[in-house]
Amino acid sequence: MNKADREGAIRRIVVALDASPHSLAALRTAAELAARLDAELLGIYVQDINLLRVAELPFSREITIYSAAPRELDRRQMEQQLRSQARQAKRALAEVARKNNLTWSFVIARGLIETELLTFAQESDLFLLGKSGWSRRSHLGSTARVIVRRAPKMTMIVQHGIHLGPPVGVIYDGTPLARKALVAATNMLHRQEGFLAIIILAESADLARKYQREISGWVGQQNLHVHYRWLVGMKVSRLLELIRSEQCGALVIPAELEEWDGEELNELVDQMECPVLLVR
Amino acid sequence: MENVKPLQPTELYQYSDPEKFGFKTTDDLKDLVEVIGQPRAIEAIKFGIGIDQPGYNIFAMGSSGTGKRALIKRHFEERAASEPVPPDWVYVNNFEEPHKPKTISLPAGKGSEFRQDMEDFVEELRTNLTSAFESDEYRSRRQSIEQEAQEQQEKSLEELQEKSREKGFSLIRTPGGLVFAPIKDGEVLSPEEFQQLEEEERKKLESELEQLQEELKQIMQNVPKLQRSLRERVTELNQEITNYSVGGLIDDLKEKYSEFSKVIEFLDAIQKDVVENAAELLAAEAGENGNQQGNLMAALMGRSRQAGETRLRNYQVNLLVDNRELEGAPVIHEENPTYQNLIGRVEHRAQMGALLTDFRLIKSGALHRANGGYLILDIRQVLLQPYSWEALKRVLQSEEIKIESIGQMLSLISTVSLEPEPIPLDVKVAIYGDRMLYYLLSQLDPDFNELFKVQADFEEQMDRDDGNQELYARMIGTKVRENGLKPFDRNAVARVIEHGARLVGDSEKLTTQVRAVDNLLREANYWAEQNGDGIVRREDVQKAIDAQIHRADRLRERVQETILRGTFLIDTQGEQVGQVNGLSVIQLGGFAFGRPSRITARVRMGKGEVVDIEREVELSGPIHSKGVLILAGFLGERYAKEQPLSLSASLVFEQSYGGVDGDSASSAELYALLSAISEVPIKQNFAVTGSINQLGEVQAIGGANEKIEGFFDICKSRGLTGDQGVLIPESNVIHLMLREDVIQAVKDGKFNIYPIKNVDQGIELLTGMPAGEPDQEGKYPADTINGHVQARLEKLAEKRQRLTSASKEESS
Repeated sequence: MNKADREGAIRRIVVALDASPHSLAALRTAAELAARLDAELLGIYVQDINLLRVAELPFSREITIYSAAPRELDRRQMEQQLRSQARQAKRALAEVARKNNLTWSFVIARGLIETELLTFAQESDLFLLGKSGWSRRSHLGSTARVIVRRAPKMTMIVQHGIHLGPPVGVIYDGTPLARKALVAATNMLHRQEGFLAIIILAESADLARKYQREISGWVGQQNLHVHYRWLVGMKVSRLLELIRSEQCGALVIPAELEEWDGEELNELVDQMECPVLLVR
Repeated sequence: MENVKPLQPTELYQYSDPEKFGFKTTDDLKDLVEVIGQPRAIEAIKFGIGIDQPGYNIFAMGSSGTGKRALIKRHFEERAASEPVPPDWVYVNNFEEPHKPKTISLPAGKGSEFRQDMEDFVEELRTNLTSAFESDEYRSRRQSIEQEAQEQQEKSLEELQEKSREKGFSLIRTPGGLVFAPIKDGEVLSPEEFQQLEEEERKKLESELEQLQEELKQIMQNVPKLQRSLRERVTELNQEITNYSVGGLIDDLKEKYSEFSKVIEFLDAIQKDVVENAAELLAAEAGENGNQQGNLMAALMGRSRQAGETRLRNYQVNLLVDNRELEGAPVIHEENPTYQNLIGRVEHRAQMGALLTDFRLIKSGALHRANGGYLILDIRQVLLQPYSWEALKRVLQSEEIKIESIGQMLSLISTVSLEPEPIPLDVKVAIYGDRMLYYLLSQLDPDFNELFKVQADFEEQMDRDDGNQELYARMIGTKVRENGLKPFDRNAVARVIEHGARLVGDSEKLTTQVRAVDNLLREANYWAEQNGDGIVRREDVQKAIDAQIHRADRLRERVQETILRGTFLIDTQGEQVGQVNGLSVIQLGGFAFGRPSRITARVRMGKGEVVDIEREVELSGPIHSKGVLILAGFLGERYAKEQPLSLSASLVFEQSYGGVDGDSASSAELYALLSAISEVPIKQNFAVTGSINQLGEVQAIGGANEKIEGFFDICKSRGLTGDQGVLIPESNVIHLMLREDVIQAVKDGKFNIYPIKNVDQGIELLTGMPAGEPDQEGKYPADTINGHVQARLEKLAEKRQRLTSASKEESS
């Protein structure tokens, strides 16, 4: 918890774009953060290789949402459509970056979506992703699920229609990763009004108190308004209740928690409406 | 025959004796409330008010200035004061047929209360709805419905996805839709890999694919159904929430107005409307407060703010008739009875070049305000306005007020218009006006006699007996005080009363045209003020009368001037054969004056025609022509019963270039004729008036006072000779109310007025020769007028006979 940690801060933000509403929300959030943290913004659009292959298969029939009539697919057409989508994404990125006065770049990749995204996520300090693709639902999409489980470093899942803002909640369980998460959370509150809700996850009340004492010194130095909440014994539903009661505008989670398996994480992220930052 | 004696001064003017009055000045007199001299009319009006049957409306007829309107108003007001206050009437929106607003009647005073209650309701409705739709409960319920719908669809897709996975496929989203793809190790098969498969494998893949696609198609086809179901559920939710928030308000109102079934109906309709159109109303509220959330919600529901505002206004109430301040029944006098002022109107407002209207733009008319009470109208004003009379009759016949736009009827406005529900009418109408209008309407308008069964006939005059003179004096006193005038002393009052008789040209009657008297009082007051007097005296009244005349008599002066200057030839001395001074009256603008006219007759041998030159040139009215024919009849009867009349005579009004009508000069014409036939001259110091019948009797004429004064003025201007005078019919003596200077001249013996009964009396006076009585054989004595006439006629007859037979001899 020294300055080095703070300086190990974010220089390069990568956002996954596919021109869907969720991804546009992710873009906006990414831009806000880039502006606030003085980072550069990279947008990545992945041309799904599976789509291209499907288009080539002779028997593929596309069913459109509005007419329910099957239509033959054509690879060239598919490529055109994907290119057009990419252009839309790029335009959105340019617009947002201009508004926020950012350094930006745009990349088109081709391949399996998850694979490509994970590659880029590796090369970023912060990676943002929309909660799901073209579905309007607020549940975690298939791509997002994979990313949640495997993304390195810091990944934020953003939902369409919900804005990033204080108060910021963070889960702390005494691990170094949790400390890293804490630092990230305080960074998010940088230059902003609002409080930090620290949810201490421990197996017992004593342990919880211990954790709190450990960090309270440092936290006090950050000049922040802080709420402390204790959760004794891991239970997703109870955790959700706590988070909701604090009315968090963002949540920071150390992604490798001892107490829980991948499914619980997925469930938590799925249920959260606010943007979720996973720290690894 | 005895000579006719001239009239005594006392017969020329009937004074009102101030000594008989029981007062000194008008200050001593008690006010008179009732209009005088109209017992018949008053009885009629009381009857008309009392009878409670349809069609018994009142027509008050008579000359203007007789106090018709005041009398009607007073009696109406007296009666109305004890009658119940009629109900209020409101118009409200008809939700089923908006172009036919409904009407509701409420007890007086409740109308304005109801209006206020509905205004309050609208305000509360806005807030209630907004808070209901902003409540967490609504939001979460709505969200869950929406999510459920979404999830339903996606669940099916997910299931399909699972199924397809089992078969080795995956459901992939393309930019355009969905597609199935065969999967191996999480990747779609490339075409090369696909080719490498066995034929059988490929076939299997394809058939499974088709099945899956079929299922997908089914799911997609369900989408619209699901959408609709979603919308329906949201609508249901909205309605439930609306009902909940508005129900309470409506129930309170229903309880308050539980006795009024039409109000309850209206409230029910509102409730239904609110529930069905909650979205619009929300938009209105959002617009009002610039509420972002509300705006958003409304925008989501796709409604405009304008529509919402309009809908809210539909819940308001148009208070058409507000009787909350009224005590007793209404008495309304509509001074400008245009169609719209009577029936009411529907106004329009312009919006984007079109004219729109709704129930709030219905305005009331006089009939609405008078409903349950009384309405007074001037018939001439009503008839002058296009369509007013017809509308009034229609309304009275149907006993309801139906507001229709004339513009609409005549297609002057082709636009949205209203048919407001008719309002039942219960009113008593009194119209007042000229007698002529009454008779015309009664004769020519078939509906009139059905609707105005009560005629209140106003007298022009009343008897001048002592009792009535007292009343007259009191009426004068009342007017003096009403107009804030100085008090009149009793001599002044007497003079006014005498003038009242002169105004109707009858010494035994008094005019009931109160307005003329009223004017005189005010003018007399003015002249008294000029004197600096604190009281009005007889001289002031006389001055007022003289001044009135002077203001009006410019023409008389000019006419007299033409006579005095000799432009117009009139002799007032000497004698002439076949020439007599006739008298006529000129009436212009309410002022009448008399003037002498020279009438001449010339005779020659002929076949018996009496030619009326005026008639020949069509300057004669029919009555004048009739008079001439009558005198011809008289002539024939008296002098040519058994032998033909062998003369031709011509009669003319010398220097008359305008029309002549009336038979009041027929006696003068006869005298001129007799003079011409008998060749006995007529004295020019006399003037004659009177009409005759075929028996030679002299009949009464009109304007006796003016005619006498007219001749007198000429004689006086030239200097009275002492033997001048006027012959008037005896039956006109009671009409005499002559000017003071005429009476004085008669008293001084310088002028005389002779009452004439028959032609013989007249001709005697005019010629100075006796008329003569016939003997048993019908022969008149030689030295009489009749004798001379007879002799001349015989001579002419003989001569004619000779000439005719001579010419017969010649021709044969």
